[in-house]
Amino acid sequence: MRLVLITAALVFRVGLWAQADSHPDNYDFHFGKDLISAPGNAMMEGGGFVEPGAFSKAEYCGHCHKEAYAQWRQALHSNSFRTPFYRTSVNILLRTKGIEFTRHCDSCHNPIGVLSGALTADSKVDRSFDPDGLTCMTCHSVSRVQATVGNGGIVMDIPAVMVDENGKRVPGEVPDEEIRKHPERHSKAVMRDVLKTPEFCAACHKANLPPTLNDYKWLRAFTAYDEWQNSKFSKRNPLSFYTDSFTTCQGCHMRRGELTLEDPGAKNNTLVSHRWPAGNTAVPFYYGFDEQLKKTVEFLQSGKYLNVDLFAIRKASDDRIVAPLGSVPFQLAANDTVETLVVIQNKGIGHSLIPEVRDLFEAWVEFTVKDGGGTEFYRSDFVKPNGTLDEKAHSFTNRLVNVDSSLVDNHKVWTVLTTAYDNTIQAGRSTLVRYRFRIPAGATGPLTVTAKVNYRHLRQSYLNNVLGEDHPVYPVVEIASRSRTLNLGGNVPSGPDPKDNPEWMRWNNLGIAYLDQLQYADAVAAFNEVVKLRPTYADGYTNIALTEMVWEKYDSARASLGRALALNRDDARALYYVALLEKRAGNTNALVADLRKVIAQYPQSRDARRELGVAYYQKHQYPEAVEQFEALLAIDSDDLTAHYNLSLLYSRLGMEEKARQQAELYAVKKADPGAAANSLDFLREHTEVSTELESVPWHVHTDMPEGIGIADKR
Amino acid sequence: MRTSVSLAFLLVAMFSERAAAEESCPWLNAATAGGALTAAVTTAVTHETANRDDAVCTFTGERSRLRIEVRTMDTPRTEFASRAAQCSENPEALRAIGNEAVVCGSKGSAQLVGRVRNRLFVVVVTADDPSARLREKARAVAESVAGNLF
Repeated sequence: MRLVLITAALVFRVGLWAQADSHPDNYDFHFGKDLISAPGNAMMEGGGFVEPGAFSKAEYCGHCHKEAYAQWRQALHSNSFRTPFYRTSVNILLRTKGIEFTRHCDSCHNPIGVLSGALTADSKVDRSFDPDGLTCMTCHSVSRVQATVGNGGIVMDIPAVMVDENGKRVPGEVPDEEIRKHPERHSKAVMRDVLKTPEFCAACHKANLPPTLNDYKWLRAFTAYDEWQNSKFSKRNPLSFYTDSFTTCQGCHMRRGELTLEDPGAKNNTLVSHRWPAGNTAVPFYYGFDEQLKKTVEFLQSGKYLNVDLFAIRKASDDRIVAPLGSVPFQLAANDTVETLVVIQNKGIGHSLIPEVRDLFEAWVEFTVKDGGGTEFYRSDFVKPNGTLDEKAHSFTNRLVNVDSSLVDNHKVWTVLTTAYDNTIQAGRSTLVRYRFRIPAGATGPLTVTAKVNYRHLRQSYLNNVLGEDHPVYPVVEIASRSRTLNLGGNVPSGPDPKDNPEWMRWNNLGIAYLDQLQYADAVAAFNEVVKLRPTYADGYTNIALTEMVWEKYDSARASLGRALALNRDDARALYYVALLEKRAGNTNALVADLRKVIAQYPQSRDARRELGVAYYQKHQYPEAVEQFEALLAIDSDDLTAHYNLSLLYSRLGMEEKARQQAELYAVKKADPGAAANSLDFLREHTEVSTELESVPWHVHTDMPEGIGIADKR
Repeated sequence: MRTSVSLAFLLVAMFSERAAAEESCPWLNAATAGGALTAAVTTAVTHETANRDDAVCTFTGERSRLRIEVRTMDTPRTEFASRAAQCSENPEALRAIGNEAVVCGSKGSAQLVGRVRNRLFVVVVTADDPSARLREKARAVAESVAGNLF
């Protein structure tokens, strides 16, 4: 049978397999011998190159898997290389530094190009595979991932759609009847367990900028994977503010849907999505993939991801906040100056809002107030006629800065020195945005106040750079919004909207937002409202304790944690913070005991492993400390504390080579203290974003002249 | 002495010719062009304007030919419209090839005129085989060219 399969493969088309010691003529090993994908990380099993023809075209898979093929053709993965939005950026790298540097990006965007040796000057490789980006055979040939290093850290096996009777992969295409006769062998070749793990996604949804790319030092680019791991959905982090059921990347982005075309991979007439809906509307808009665009918009607007809460108002005449809106009575009148507190919760995203390349993607809050006649008298955070966003908008973006303290535009990430500004909402957290307006004299009620979170892919300046300024208007999607009607005169409690969070959670989110803005008294007050409404909620007391700890009120923090543990003595989150109090008090044995309890429940808790490693080190239990830091590196291969401590520990244990390696990793990954000066230079020149920093909690969006308003009164 | 000068002249001439012959097409390599034409190809690159970023690449196979012209426009909208209007034999506007593109032609020859920002590109595929799907080939080549122009 094996002979039959091999013969069939030869008859159809064999992708020639290059040996590790062979390579395309004139390949530029710019970054070192055998480093074919550096500065990226993609590699073949056993090393070396592979002929591009070894990867069957997607059409080959598609003649049976019609549904998967149709979805994939419109998805981001199939268009990972060819889109103008990607090419513009990578072409700048190619033109300024050389094609060999593009292996950094293309280890994910075009792995066939990298692994076939096509990305070298004067390449002799036929690039007809470019338009297919990540094909069926690129993902379904991955045998494993290289820890969680990212940058395309996949290990690719021989592309094959069948294994023989001994489980050996059969390269090339085979007749359909062979697959029908042995579906289990087809499945064994293409459906490896790694495909279903979040670590598989991490291979590309985690990225860094290595010194080989930027001639500077290692910088984190993005890591949706780590954000997921720290979120409630991973069940790996005891410190998330909320809990939920375990969900992987695939759980959200590859949900099962009903078939519209034939597909033998379907189960119960459903197939896991090969559209991977997420946030990218630009690519389907450019290609005219209407179904993909529709599914993307539906995904963004599913209502699962964000909660917008018009939480409170504060009148200029009164220091107290009226909160929560909808639950308490209050009075309003014309000429009142009103500050509105809008709480935006990243409720159901397993990563940050917005993830990954925050220098190109753009989400922002739009806030409007209309009078009873529908006339808008206040608007903040809007798109201007030229398509750019109001510079003062509250946006969930970042500002990357280069060595000249100037904005890094066009995604020239190899020129990044530092991040001057990064305004995101991490998974499970909330942010507080303040808007102040004056109700016009003579205004008629009721007023309609609306806050929305809008999203677009991509920011206008980048679209202009890619397409010139005469391009069509790209979609803006409203992800979430909330409106409230405010009467001029008396307002009575109105009851919740079905989309609203329960009242305790509204207070909890406010507390989290205050905590992140370093407003500790306000945060404790908000969390106290939580435990009043829900006295059996252990996390409410832990949230109070957490705030008190960062406020350096350790005794009251201990008391609050005691209340949490009285409700649940095994509460891992409370135990972790108790451990930190023990650490501060010098009770190392208690510290170790508490952390071991946490790790027993959450073996992949980075924080607990890190603290326990340090504790063992202080107790001179070096092997135990090494065990914790090695476990920590298995969770996050870039953990600085682990690198630093292992460099010392290995040395003490006489393992000098390993110590040297860890010391080198620490040195290259450690933040450059001088880079902060460039951030400050940039922020001094760009007050429109520096005022948005979380360390400026009194910042209020307003069109009122300076000197008028609540902040000044306070 | 005379012999030495002649030899040096010959060497310079040989290297100059070789250098000129080896200039590769900036927007499509010979292997990809050969794949599109399903033939082994020879490559020629010429510059017809003073702008060295503009060029004409010609790939010649035994029974087929591919010509790629790229030039920079001063007035992109009008120049593109004017050039696209010349693509008049069964023209079809294409989406997602550069900023805009149109393909035309019939059996034996297909032409695609497109634009990326202020760069005009014209792809012409000709073949002796009347059954060759030349519009598809022109489109595939144009996508690569546009991708490299972005």
